[in-house]
Amino acid sequence: MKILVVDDETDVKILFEQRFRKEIKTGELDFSFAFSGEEALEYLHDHDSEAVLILSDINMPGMSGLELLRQIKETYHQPPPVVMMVTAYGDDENREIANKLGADDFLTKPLDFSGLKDKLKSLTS
Amino acid sequence: MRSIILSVLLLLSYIFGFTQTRLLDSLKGELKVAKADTTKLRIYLLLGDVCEKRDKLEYTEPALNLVDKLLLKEQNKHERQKLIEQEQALLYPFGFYYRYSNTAEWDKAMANLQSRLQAIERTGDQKRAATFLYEMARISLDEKKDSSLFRTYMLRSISVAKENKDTALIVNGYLFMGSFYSSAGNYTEGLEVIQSSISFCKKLNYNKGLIQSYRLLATLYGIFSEYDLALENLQTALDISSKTKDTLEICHTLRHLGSYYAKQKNIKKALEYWEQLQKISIIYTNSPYSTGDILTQIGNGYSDNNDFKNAQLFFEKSLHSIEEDRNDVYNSWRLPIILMLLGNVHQNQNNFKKALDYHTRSINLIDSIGDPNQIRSYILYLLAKDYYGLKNYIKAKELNDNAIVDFKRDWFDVEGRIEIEFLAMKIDSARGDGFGALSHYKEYINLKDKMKGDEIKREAQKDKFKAEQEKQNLEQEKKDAIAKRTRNLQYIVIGAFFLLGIFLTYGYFQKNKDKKQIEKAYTELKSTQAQLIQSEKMASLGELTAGIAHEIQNPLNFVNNFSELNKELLVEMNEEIQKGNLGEVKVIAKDIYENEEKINHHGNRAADIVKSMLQHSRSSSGAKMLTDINALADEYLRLAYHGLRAKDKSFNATMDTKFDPTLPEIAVVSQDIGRVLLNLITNAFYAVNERSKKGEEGYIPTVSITTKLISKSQVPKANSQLLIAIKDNGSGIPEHIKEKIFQPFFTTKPTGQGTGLGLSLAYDIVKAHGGELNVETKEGEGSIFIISIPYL
Repeated sequence: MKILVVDDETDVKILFEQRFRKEIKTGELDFSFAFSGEEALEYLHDHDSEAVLILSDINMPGMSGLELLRQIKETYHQPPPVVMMVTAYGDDENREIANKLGADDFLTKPLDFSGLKDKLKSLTS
Repeated sequence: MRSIILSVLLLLSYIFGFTQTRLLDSLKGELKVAKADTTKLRIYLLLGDVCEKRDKLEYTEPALNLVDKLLLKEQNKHERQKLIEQEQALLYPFGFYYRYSNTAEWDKAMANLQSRLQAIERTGDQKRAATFLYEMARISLDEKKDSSLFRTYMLRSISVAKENKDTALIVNGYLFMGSFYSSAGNYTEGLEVIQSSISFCKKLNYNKGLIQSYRLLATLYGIFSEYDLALENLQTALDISSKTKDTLEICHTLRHLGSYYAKQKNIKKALEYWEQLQKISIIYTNSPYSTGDILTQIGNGYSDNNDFKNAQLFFEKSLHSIEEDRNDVYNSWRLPIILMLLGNVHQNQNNFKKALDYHTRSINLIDSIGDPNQIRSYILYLLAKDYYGLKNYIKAKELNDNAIVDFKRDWFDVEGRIEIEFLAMKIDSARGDGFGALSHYKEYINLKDKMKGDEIKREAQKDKFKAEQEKQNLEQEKKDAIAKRTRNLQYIVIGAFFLLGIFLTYGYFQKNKDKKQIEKAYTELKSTQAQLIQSEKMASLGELTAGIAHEIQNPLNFVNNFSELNKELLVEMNEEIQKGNLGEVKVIAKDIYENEEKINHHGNRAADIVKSMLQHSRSSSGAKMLTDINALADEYLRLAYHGLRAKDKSFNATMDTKFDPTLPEIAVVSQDIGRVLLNLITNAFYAVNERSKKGEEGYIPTVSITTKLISKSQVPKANSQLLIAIKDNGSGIPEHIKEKIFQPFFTTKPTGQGTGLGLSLAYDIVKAHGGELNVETKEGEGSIFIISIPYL
């Protein structure tokens, strides 16, 4: 399963690649990384329908995660990828906007990786 | 006899184009005129063979009734035995016919068998009763998957066989149970039952049973990865069967030995045994292994070794031999399997078109002649995989979904289901269906966890049993071996721990330092916050504290995540130390070290942010003093320049100063204004440095500071303004960023290179002095930051 992670922090890539190294080895999960909203859109355009799950930070310089969410939900809907937003706790305003724009779920910062693994298990169709 | 008649009939039907219906009709016609029971039985049996799958039950029932009738009359022991075997054979597919029906149908079938059993028991024929019970046990397991029912009937069968002293049946019972326990993963019970069988056979000198028991024991050991014991028992079985010249058992044992070596990836030895088997089978006409079987085995051996080219070769030979040998009726059951295997071997070589071809042929064959080996669901999965390989995701999904339904309903084969859910996830992923992929991923993980859990339980059971065994018999031997190993291991462990110790100590102190830094900063921050609530600057600081929390979350996130990661890695490292993999330990230690560097880096980031904030909040606590701005500016200019040169040796810029000589001293907090100047100058140098990296021809990076007094009257200092302008010829500031630059935490610098507080701090300081900070900029040309402070 291909997952696109969008975050301006480059260390996020190292973190994901290490925390999920077993799953990456067995081929269960395959991660791609974009360091800005613009990069993410470029990736989605070039790799149409490849990533089925998108994890995006909200607070990023340039295009914010919310703007990215809006564009993804508008452009890609057959079939739609699952989009989860990463927000800081207590960030109610952002959560509301994200909800309205159609975010499928939220993760809080600091990123809880075992929580993420559970989320992947519990999300049903 | 029957098989010959069947073959002849089939041949006739082929030659004369008899359709199935015409055959049936002709047989039914014969039935009407048949007088003798034996004739009628024969015809019913043929009808059962020829008719449609769903009609078979129609002919099985009357056949069973006839057998029953005949057994009541028959006195000849030999003939009775034949009839009992006939009955057993009729029962063989009995449960199968009810398999796809609902529970009511199943209960009807069992009630049917129960009443027949009671009738048999009333006749007192124990041999027949034991055989019947054996079949009922098998049906309960194979068709109904009811293991407790299986045990009940099997134990009854064994006890009746014991009363009748029917050795063969007793051993069959034991072995069936043993094989059931083995495949269910019940190590202890499996071992117990097989060993009972062994001692029973030894007591009665029943060599055939003994050989079979040793073979089953080998299988059990194989399942639990005790390969030495498995081989030992297979050798024993071979020895006994050679000594007693039991060719049938020799054949079976040779096959097992071949499979054993194939699993051990020793294809050379496997082939040795299989070739032996082939030689014997040619001579021994009653060999249970046809050439086709053996060729298939060899193909499987190669396939397990990932030598698909050779596997394909042998499978093709096998197919050829099966297609040629029309005498062997059982070949029709072998055909779907060999077609499936050929499909698999092409799939493994990514020849999906050929694979699809073979798999389709296989499933079509099954649909017309029946699926006694119960492979249909699995073939659906294989077809889905073929279509996936051909990128036809719609068809792949359709077939795989059907396979999932079948697998859920039928035998709960966890390993099979794991494969299928994995494929389902890949298919949905390829289709871009995120929700589908995730739900299948969830299933996949659950099944994997379950299998891991079962495996752990199995291993635990086995380990417990083994521990007890070893304590009783091999104590001394083990002690010596352990002592020697421990000594070697100690050397490795000492070395590893030494390395580990260094990294842990370093990491521990670093982490402690970081932790203390952050804790200290947080406490200071909290108290400062309380103080500042009174000040009029709180308006902007209110935003700032929310901003701080936000900003610090990021590096804190990394500190937590990387340190959790290191915890995991340390556990892994411990495991590797236990195994003595020093190489792996070194690799992991390197990763841990790098992660600690990241933790350190992010910890410092957090601390820097707080430090910056504290400076910001403290800026109002200084006292104003008369200051020579020209001197100040000059000093900070040089400071900034040399500071940057120290960091980046390649850095070079022209400095330009235009100081107004008439500038009077002004009352300012010199520390704060100094900080402002430092910040603006540093920004200017940064901007020109960035532009110079672009390599434009003739570009001379220049930063200039100008000071000027603007007076509105002749009286010095009254209504006058101090102007400080810091100019750079960098790339300028784009319009949409210009509005944001004074916002706290806004920065265009890469993460970690700037806190984004400099300009907002500068802005606030200037404001606090009653002045203003403005910027004029043009993209491609540069920027000018202008500080104006009134003389009061």
